[in-house]
Amino acid sequence: MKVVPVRWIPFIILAYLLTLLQTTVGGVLAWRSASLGPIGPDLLAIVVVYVALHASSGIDAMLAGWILGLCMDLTTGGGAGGATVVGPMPIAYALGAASIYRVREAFFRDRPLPQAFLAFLLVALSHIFWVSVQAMRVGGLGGGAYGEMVLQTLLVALYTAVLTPLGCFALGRMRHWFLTPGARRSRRSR
Amino acid sequence: MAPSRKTVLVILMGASIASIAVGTRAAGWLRGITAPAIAPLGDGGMWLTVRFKAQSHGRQLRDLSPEEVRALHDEVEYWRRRTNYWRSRSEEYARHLRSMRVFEKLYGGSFGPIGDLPCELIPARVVGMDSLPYGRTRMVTPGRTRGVREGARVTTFELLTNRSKAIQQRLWTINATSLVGRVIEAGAFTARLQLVIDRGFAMRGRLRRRLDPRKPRKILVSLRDAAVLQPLTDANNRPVDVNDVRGDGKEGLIVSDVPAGEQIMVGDELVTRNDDALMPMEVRVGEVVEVLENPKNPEFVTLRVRPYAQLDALREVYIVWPLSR
Repeated sequence: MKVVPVRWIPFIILAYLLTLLQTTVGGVLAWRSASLGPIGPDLLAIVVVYVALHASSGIDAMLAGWILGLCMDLTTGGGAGGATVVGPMPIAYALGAASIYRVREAFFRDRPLPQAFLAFLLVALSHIFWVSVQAMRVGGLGGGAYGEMVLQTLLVALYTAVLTPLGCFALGRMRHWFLTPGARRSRRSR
Repeated sequence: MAPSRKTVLVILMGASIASIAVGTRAAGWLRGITAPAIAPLGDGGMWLTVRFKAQSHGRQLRDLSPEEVRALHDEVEYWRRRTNYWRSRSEEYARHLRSMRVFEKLYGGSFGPIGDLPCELIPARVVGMDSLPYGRTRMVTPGRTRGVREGARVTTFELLTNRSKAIQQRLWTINATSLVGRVIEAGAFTARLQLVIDRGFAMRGRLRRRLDPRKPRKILVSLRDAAVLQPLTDANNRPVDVNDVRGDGKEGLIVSDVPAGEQIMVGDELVTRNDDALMPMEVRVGEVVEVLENPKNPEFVTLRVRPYAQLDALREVYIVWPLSR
């Protein structure tokens, strides 16, 4: 598979549609744990993983991650003890995308297991970063509640990881919409 | 010359850090101007989700045991006697009402109108949820253009019925209100509703004890200089005001520091307080489902409350705006 530049306008439309899915029908995919609260997949993280695995440059991957993180923050109003701030998730996704871009040569990127593993790491680390920043910035979250939320992030990461191969397969079928065919060919994708 | 993608990325990352530093005010403003992009198309998706959730969370029915049937029968008898009593009182009040109407016809024009509900109810619809599952907020329309402001309380209206079959149309119905949350951000066309079960939700409340002949209880009543234990009756069943009611972030509310002497039990009701400036009336919130003793301070208990509203399948809500503001 080729590594390719991102087509930004179709990508932003894709981000918008996925955000719409996440904020409405995403509720159907969530299940409720009596001790930890709702556990639902992070659909946008799947796109971050896919783009980071296939973008032509680290800057492109980071920009895509930033846009998806912004979508996430703009549509999340509550969480760590009060109204949340905008900003942590764009930073987390951009840095996560850059990290995946740097290590992607070590993985067979079209195999389900590496995709799921990278998605688990991305969601777990970026969500823990998000929860921590919100808890510090907004306040009102005790130590016990913070621990519960960290546990919740790990379950969300696991759920997302399970769905990631399916999501990457679907994104692969429509990649020509948001990724321009490029010339450079990756070693580990053949 | 157009800036390079690297420059754009640096600017965007800097803007993110600045946004975190500015805090929730900037976040509310940003969400307010971008939420209308989600709201129109979100309506259809939320309809699907609410339908699905309402189906999957439907209450399961089970057969009653003979003891439960007997207890239910006793309870029905009790309430039948109470109903007869209140029916006779109602007839008495109806006679008073007729005479007051005659008075109103004669002198009604001399006085100004009196509103029975000191609030305006702004109908709103849930059009989106949080992207992340850690908070329990919803996006609702309308927003500031219809007078919605931060801090306003939100209720939902439910139709109560104990019939297993569909009620025929055109019958009179009884409805009840229950609190579902409050508005924490309000944009031009949308507002963000914080559900009562969100970790950040806090309110003052009032507990109303339900008199149940099967579960008699004794409460401490102050008589002059001494406090004595007396059976709970209609006469001494005063509401218990509580100051610390918070969402637990999962599926209920926690009421802390409730005096154990008030003998709150499972099945009692949490309502709002009519001395709240933003909600000057009593509206049902939920039912006590667990009473937890405090090992450090046995004089107080903690209550777990389950909200009456089915918050996963929330769609039509009313935003309460007090007319006095």
